[in-house]
Amino acid sequence: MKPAFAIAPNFHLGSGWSDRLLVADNEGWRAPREDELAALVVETPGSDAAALLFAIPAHMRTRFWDMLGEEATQGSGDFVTFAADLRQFLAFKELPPPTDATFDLLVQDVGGAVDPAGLWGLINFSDEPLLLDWPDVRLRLSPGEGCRIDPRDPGRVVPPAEEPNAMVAIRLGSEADGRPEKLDS
Amino acid sequence: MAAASATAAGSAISGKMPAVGSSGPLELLVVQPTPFCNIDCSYCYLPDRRNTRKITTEILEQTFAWTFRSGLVRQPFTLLWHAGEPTVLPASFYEQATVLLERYNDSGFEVTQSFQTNATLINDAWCDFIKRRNVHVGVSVDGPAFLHDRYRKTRRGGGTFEKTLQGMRRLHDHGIDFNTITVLTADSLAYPDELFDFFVENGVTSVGFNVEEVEGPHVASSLARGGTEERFRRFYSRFLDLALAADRPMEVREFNTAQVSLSHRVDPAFRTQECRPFAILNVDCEGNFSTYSPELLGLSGPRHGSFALGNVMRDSLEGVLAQPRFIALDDEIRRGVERCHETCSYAPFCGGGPPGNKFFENGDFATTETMSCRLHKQVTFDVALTKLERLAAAQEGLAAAE
Repeated sequence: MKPAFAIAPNFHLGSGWSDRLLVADNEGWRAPREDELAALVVETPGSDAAALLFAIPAHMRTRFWDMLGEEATQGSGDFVTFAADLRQFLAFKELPPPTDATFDLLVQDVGGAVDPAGLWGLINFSDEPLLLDWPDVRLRLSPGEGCRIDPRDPGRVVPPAEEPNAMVAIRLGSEADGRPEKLDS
Repeated sequence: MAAASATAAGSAISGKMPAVGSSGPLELLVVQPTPFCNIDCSYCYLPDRRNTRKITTEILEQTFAWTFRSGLVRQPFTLLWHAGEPTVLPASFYEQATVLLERYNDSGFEVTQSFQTNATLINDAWCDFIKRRNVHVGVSVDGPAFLHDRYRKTRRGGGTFEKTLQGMRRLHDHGIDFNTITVLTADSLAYPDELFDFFVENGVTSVGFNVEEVEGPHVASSLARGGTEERFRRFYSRFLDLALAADRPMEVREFNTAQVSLSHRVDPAFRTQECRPFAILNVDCEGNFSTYSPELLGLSGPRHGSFALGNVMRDSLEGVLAQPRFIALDDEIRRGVERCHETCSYAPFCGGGPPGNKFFENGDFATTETMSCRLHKQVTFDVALTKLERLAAAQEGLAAAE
């Protein structure tokens, strides 16, 4: 089943779907035709099956990197507070993560894999696009963009080719039991 | 706190003619040198914004002469050039106007000039004038393009964001500080973070929010829908949190106003700027003048006729104050303020709602609450109070810890 994509209500994303989606074509990927795009994109989000795209404000991206800088230099980066603010932002936007969801800070190295268990959402904090693959379709998340994912069909985060991916994964609580709030992978 | 709305019954006019000395003092002189605007915002209340008439030197000269001879100038005041779009006239026009202003200002009081502009026509000549004459500039911008261009359009329906941004950048390049006014519509209320990002990215450190009002020909506001107050409250609270926590402090006009207003109660006998006769004097390009809310000039009501009370070329202030029409209008506004104090728990802090909003929303100046009151006063006061209490509690905790 191809997932249906939509922009989450109360969010504005800059570029169009033709810049975000690619469809499988033999061994590679190509831009979707209009009819394929129409089948992939849902204009009225709300369905459980929809992968909902959203964007994180610039001030939160700045804070994310400041936090990493503090962690690197003084060991005092406060991801717990940052995650709480991220949760508050998504709740304001009426896209609240489940109350028992946990937030993981992930750094995906070249060739590394991201555990898809219980993924509810993924936010790209890198300076490069993040690619998520499903069997027939690839989603390109620009820097600062996120996606609420159907946990039953979370797809696969494509390993980066050069620079590591930096992202925040939001996981359903039952799937995240035993995980630390702060995690390097 | 909640306020009841009341509509005036048709009572007999019992007002008295205010003496010149009890009118004013002038705080704000609003001059519309042309009704023309080069853009066509869909929420605009100006009925005549396609008209390219401009004020003559004779009328402008008489406007200043009238103002300074009226007895209203008893303290420093602000001259606000507000049209239409004031910058459709060249900077050289305002240079000449400034010379005239200085010629007639024998009051000894300082006059601060101010422009409210869409910034699309700001060029180097404008920046030179603004710096040389120390003019205050307010830019009307509704945030990032996807919000701004929904309502602030060209006559062909295109967006105006890019040109406004160019104007803002030109002001910055010349080292000119400016504040911004953003009109909030129902669409904006989901985007406090995006608005904050926009202001930070563009070096804006002083912002004000207007609400999309029902005024004149703009008879339906997107904010009139159910549930708006709660959405507005959430928007404003979140924006204020971001602004107060910003590395570079961002002033929010409504928060500053609320802080001042909440710090002392207004005497019910006191009439605030928009409710007091000739604290504001509005003059159009033909010399017609009005007072109270600036948006009344150029409009009329079925009972009141034109809100233009006279013309600087032929009418004296004494003559206008003696007109039964003015006395009736002033009495109706006074009764509206009294009713605010009788029925609204916010009135001791706001001093009574703006007459313009009362008229356009309720059809009568002697009424009380409007949508503008609920959003722009009541919600902003409530939110400010919550933030101030939280700040005070945090400071107390800090002091106790020390």
